[in-house]
Amino acid sequence: MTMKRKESITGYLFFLPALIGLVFLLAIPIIFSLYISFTDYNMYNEFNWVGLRNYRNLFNDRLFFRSLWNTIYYVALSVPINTVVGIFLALLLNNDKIKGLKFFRTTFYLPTVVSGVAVALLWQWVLDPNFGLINNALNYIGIQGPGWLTSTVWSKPSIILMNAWAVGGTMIIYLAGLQGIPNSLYESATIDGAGPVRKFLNITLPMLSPTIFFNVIMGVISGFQVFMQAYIMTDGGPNNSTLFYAFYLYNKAFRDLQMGSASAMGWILLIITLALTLVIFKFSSSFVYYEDNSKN
Amino acid sequence: MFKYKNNKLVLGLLLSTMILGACGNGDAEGNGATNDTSTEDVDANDTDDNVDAGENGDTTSEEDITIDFWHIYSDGPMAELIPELIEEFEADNQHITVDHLGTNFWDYFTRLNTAVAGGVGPDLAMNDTTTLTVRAQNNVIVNIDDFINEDDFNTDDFYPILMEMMEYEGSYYGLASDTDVRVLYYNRAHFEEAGLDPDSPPTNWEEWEEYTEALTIIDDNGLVEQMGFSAEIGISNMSLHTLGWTNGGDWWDEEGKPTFTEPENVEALEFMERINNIYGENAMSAFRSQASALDYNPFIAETVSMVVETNNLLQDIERYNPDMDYGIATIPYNVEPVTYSAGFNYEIIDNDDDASARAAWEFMKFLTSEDVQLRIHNELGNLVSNINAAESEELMQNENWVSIVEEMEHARFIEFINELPTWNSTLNSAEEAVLQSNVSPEDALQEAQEIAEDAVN
Amino acid sequence: MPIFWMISTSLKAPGKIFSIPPEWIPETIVWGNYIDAINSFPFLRYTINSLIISGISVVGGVLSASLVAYAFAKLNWPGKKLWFMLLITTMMLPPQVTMIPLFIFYAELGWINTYLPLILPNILGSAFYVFLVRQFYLSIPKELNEAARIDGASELYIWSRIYLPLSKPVLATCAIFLFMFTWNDFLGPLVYLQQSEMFTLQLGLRGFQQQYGTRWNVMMAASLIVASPSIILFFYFQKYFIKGASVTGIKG
Repeated sequence: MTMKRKESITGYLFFLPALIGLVFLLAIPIIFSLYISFTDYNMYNEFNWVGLRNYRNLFNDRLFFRSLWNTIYYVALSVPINTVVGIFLALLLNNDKIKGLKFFRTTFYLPTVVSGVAVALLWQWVLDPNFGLINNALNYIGIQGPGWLTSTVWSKPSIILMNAWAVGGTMIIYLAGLQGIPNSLYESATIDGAGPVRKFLNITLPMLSPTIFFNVIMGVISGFQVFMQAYIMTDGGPNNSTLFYAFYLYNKAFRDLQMGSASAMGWILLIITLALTLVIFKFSSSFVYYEDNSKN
Repeated sequence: MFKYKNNKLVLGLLLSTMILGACGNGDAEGNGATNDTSTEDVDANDTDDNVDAGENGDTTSEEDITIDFWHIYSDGPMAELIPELIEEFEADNQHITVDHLGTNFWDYFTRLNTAVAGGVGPDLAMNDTTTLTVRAQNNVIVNIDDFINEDDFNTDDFYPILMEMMEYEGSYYGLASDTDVRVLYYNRAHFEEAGLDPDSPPTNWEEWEEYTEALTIIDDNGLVEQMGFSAEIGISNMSLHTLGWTNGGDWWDEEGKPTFTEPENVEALEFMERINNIYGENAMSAFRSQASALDYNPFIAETVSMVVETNNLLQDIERYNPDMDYGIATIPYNVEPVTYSAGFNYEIIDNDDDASARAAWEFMKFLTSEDVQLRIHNELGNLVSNINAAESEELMQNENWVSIVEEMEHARFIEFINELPTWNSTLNSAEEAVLQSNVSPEDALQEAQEIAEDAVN
Repeated sequence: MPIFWMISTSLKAPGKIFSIPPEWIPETIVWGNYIDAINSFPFLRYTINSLIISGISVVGGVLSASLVAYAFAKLNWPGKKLWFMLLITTMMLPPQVTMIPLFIFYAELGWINTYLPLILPNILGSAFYVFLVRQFYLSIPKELNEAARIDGASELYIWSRIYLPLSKPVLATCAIFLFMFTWNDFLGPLVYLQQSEMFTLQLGLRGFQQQYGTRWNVMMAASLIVASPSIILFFYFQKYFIKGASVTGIKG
């Protein structure tokens, strides 16, 4: 057996768990859902084929486009914000010399751990236009706080803010990535007389780029599926300003029982996300640096 | 060699995780094979009920059967009552065992619908009365006409409107459990203070608006000290569709097309807007925050003089402000009295099993019997469907309760629209847009109309 | 931080929960809420159930993710790129869409009321973790592999003896996330588990929310109790996040 052959077989063997998962646990439901998108299934009836009707109806649905716009707005803002904040926090908390480092990291991680409803309730309180913490604080400096969740303009930023607060998750991933950068690199840079900014731009960023790449892709994928706050707090309002795509989909599926339509929505989202991801992948070779010089 | 050892290690780990996963089955295999009654509360573990030496109902050679009953009570007094009821039922029906599962209201439908879609649903389930049609249409639930006829079951024991809701194409598909109605609650003390007759609540919209202005007190800062009335969600349970109905408006025509922009309906939304304008945006915003901070309706805190709420408010008043001097009246109307009703019913899921269906029917009869319904009412204050229970002597001693049950004469459920079952939520968005975002009523309703048209096609 | 509000609410008596202005430190501290929380549902049993699910998922998931990630990062095999894209794509379909088909699929297999639907997806190469670990592995220089291969080591050896130890930070991250996601998952347990003996802690928590009369204070107490293992785990795994704990690349 040639080396190459052996490597191929080993590759597949290692890949086996995912292969089994893909084929048995994912492929079937996924293809099934594609089929459903061409039917008028409402969870109780038979699967009646209706061709492209669901898709056509969606293109005539103003709420569909509204939800798409709301979601794009969210992704466009939250991904950069979360990336910057995540990296910033990770860098900050990467310093062994800080006393109580573990404690600080845990405080930032805490938000991600506490589950949905309690947090949502909290934020409703914090963001209350009249009695909430934020507006009270703003009042002290003499600024009239906005309506936050009750305002059509500020509702999406409110949600972006809430999710930025929960950035602990991405922070950990960046922390892990930072651990992978050998100290020796920084040491040689110091010897060469490089300052902190230089070090950051020429060592940290490139070495961290695979991790950044991961978080950006994941941020996009999960951003497009933003759902929780709309479900628990805003119900899509005010005036459909927080009607996110995944929430609209959920309503279609489980409140209006239009599974066919909802599945169609899901597949449209997949195509959009895939397209965007492929674009990012294409560009990645120019900004992502892999130590072992391999591509993609 | 290392190679094989590690190989085995990894494979072994993966395999054992799978096996452990399968074994992590717990004691229960499949549905309904166990003998305990399960609840999300502390278990009332009592499997001796079948050995009860009490009197027997039906002991002809019936095979032992176990049925699953799903309901919406995962916490609170009902969650404790249900196991008790089951015990009693099982004592009288020794061949039937009832396993029950309570899921909180918000998650209930997700669990129920997925289970039914996957063919692993329960035998008897509670469900939303308004949507019975779609389940009957698709033969998901059992037609109970035969059971009714065989047992000479008296459907007159139940409120007529509720039995109507249980009908589809001339057959019955379930029995209603309970429902609610909405009425106008008003603070008699405030009426007196404002120089209004506490025995004459408003009966039409003109009076309603007048009284609201008379009852409203705005302090020097422009904030609302006492709010006459607001139809806004969160303060009142006054949905736009109901208001439209009282004005003679309809939201759907006979062909199932939306008629949201009918003048009667626009007037309703305009009315809501006018009322809120009495207070102004800032005052409303401040009031909203305050109201949401309370554990109960601001009416109970006596900061609002009139609200529209369900019959459940009675209990809350009893609990938080029992000495309040208040009255109950029909919602003021311009054309006809009407009140919005929404409730739950019991249905037998069609699992292709006659024995289960029959056992479920027996349990359903039990749950809707006068005695049991009365007990359910006592726990929750709900308007139960069995008239004998709802209008029992002891309950009818309470004047306020009498007003409540009288509302059943003009109770109305929302129309079931296949493509848009939650069309009343669409109206909520329109209402919000007008009351909180300054959209004009015509525009808001126009948009809602278009959304509805999109859905219905 | 809003966490303080949670803690404070969990210690309040029923009437004071939503008072304005918000009461940060409750007048009367009601420790009893915590006792109530534990008594409101079969706490111990649910904890064990949650532990089984999360425990197996974490161990199996970490191992399988790094195995598969290794294949993508360091080995060459036909169709690799395509499979990778496919794997990533599976994450792009919102779960609500596949929920019903997946459920029906599992129902046909008779896996409802087992933990299989809750554990298997995690240990059969879940895309998120595979992707994460792969990125990490790509930063490890290939020279390491080549040196080891020249010495005659098999890929499995390289993976288990060299890469696994090297990737402690990222594996710790995976463990933390895996634990957290499975521990906090309620939708899965909600639809797949119908017998209450098998319920998880999250389902117990959801039980508090009623149409009328939710006991917020007890619910907050319960939420905090349920959240604590994730926090403890995180704290414990911090040791892998200390600079210098792992060295990538053996220079010289």
